Amino acid sequence: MIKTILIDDEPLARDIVKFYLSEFKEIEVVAECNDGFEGLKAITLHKPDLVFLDIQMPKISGFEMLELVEDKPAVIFTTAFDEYAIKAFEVNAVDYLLKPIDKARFDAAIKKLPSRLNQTENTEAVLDAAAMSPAQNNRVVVKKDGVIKIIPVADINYLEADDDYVKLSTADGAFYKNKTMAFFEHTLDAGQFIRIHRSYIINLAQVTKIELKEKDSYVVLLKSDIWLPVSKTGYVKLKAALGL
Amino acid sequence: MTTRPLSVPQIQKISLGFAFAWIILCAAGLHYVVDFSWLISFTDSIINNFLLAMACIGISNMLGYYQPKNERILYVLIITVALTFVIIFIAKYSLSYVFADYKDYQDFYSFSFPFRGLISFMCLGWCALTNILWYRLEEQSETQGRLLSAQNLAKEAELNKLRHQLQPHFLFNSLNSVFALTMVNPKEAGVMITKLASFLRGTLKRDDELWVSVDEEMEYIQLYLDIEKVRFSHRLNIEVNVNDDTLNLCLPGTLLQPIVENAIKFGLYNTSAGITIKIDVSVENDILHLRVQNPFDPEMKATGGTGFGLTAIKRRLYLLFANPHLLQTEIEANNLYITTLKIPQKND
Repeated sequence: MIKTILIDDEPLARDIVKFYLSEFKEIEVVAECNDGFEGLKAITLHKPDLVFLDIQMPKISGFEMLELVEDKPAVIFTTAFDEYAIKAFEVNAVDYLLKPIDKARFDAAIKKLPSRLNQTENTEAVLDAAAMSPAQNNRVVVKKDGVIKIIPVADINYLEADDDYVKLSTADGAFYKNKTMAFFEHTLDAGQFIRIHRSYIINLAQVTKIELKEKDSYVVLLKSDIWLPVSKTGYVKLKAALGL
Repeated sequence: MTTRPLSVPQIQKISLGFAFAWIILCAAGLHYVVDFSWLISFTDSIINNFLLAMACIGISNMLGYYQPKNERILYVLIITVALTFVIIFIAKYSLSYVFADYKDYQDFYSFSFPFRGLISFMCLGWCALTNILWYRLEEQSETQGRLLSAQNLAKEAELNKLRHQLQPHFLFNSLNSVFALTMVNPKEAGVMITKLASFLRGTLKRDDELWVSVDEEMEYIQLYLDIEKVRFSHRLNIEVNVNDDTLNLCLPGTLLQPIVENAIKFGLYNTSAGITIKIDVSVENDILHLRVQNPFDPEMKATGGTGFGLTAIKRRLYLLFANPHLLQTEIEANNLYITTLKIPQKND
C-alpha cells in the first residue's frame, strides 16, 4: 500500500486528485490538508510515501513546507501557474502536474512512481532553485521546538556555520536551518548580506564598526554587540559592499 | 557619464609609449642631424615634448568638460592656436635661459622656431580632433543605450499589463475548479463556466479611459467573487452593501477589482480559517466611497509583500486624478484591513 497525503488549499482541486486516484487501488489517501502547517503535521504523523503538493498556499508555500520535512517523501507538485516553479521542475526532472490536471498526464506520473519512491535528491534541487524565486527570497521558514516561524531576511543579524546546519541569529533568538553556507551566500541578496568569513555571513545593516585586530586580521562589531572575525577575502568584500 | 579617453588603461599605455618614442626620436634627430651634444638634444626634446604632452592632456580634459554645440571647429582652432603659442614660448624662454651660452644652439632655435610652432600646432590639432571624435562616439553609444533601455521598459510594462489583466494564476485555478465540478456537480460546472466567461469578457473590455457605472462594476465584482467562492466555498463569506443612490454613479473600470483581489489575497490566501470580506459602496458630497474590508494575519503582513497591488492602484489614481490620496488604507484593532477608494464624480 502506498500512503499518500493531498495538500492544497482548494477543496475542488483535491477532489480531482482523489477522483483520479480512486482507480489506483494500491494508493491510499491518508490525509487531506488545507495549508502547509496542516501538511507538515500530517506528514510527521502519517509518514506517507507520496505527497501531492500545491505550491501557492496560505501562510507558507509548498516549497517552504517541504524544506521543513526531515524525511522527505516522494512529491508530485501540482500548480496552476508559476513560471519560476515550473522552470525549477523542468530543470530538475521532478514530477509536476499543471492545473487543470490532465488524466493521461496524471496516470503517467503514477506509473513512474515506483522508481521514484525512495529517491528524493531531485526534490532537494528543486527546493534550492525555488529559494531563489522572488516570492520566497525575502523570508526564511524555520521550525523550532515544533513551532513554525517565518523570518523576514531583514531580521537576520548574521548567519553562522554549525556542523550540518546554519545558525540564523535574530533579535528573537537563534534558529537552525539544514542548509549550507554556500546556499545562503547565493540566495540572500548580495547587496545586503556579505560572507565575511568561512563561517559567517553578516547583515550589512547590522555593522557598527570594523577594527584591525592584528596585522592583516580584522573584526567587525554588530549592533547586537557581537564581535565576528573577518577573513582576508571577507574584508575585501566587506569594504567593497560598504563602498570604502 | 562619458569615459575619458585618457582614463582607458590601454590608451594610457599607448600614449605613454608613443611620447617616449617621440622624445627619443627628436633627441636623436637633433644629435645626429644638427650635431648638438646629447645633453642639449635631450634637454631640448624633453622640455618641448613634455609641454606638448601636457597641452594634449589639457585639451583632452577640456573637451571632456565642455564642448560648444555650435562652432565646434572654431572653438577647437582657437584653443589649439592659443595653447601652441603658450607652449612654444615657454619652451623658447626656458631653453634660451638654460643654454644662454651656446650661440649655435640659440641661432638654430631662432631658425627652427616657426617649424616647432607648426609641429606643435599639428600635434595639438590632431589630438583635439581625435578627442572630439571619441566623445562623439561615446555620446552616440550612450544615447543608443538609453533608447534601448527605454524601449525595453516600455515592452516590459506592456507585458506586465497584459499579464495583470489575464491573472493567469486565477484563471488556471478557476479552470481547475470548473474541471473538478464537471465531475462532482456538472450543473454547477455549467454555471461556473458562464460566470468565468462573463468575467473574462469584462476583463478584456476594461480600460483606464473607460468609466463604468457602479451597477455595472458591482456586477463584474460579483462575478469575480462568485468564482472565488466556488474555489474556496468553505471559508469565504462575502457581504456586499451598495447604496441605491450610488448605482448610477461612475468610476474607472480598472480600480475596484484589484483592490478586492488584494483583499482576497491577504485575507484568504494567507489563512486557512473562514473569513468575511465586506464591500460597502456609498456616496458623500458627490464623492463615491468604496470601502473594502478584509481580515489579515498580522504576522504574515510583516513578511509578505507590502501590497504591490495597491502601489499600482495609487499610481493609476495619480495618473487619472493627479491625486494620490484617493486611496486610503487603515488597520483596525481586531486585525481588519480597510481599503477606501474615493472617486470624485465628473459633473457632466
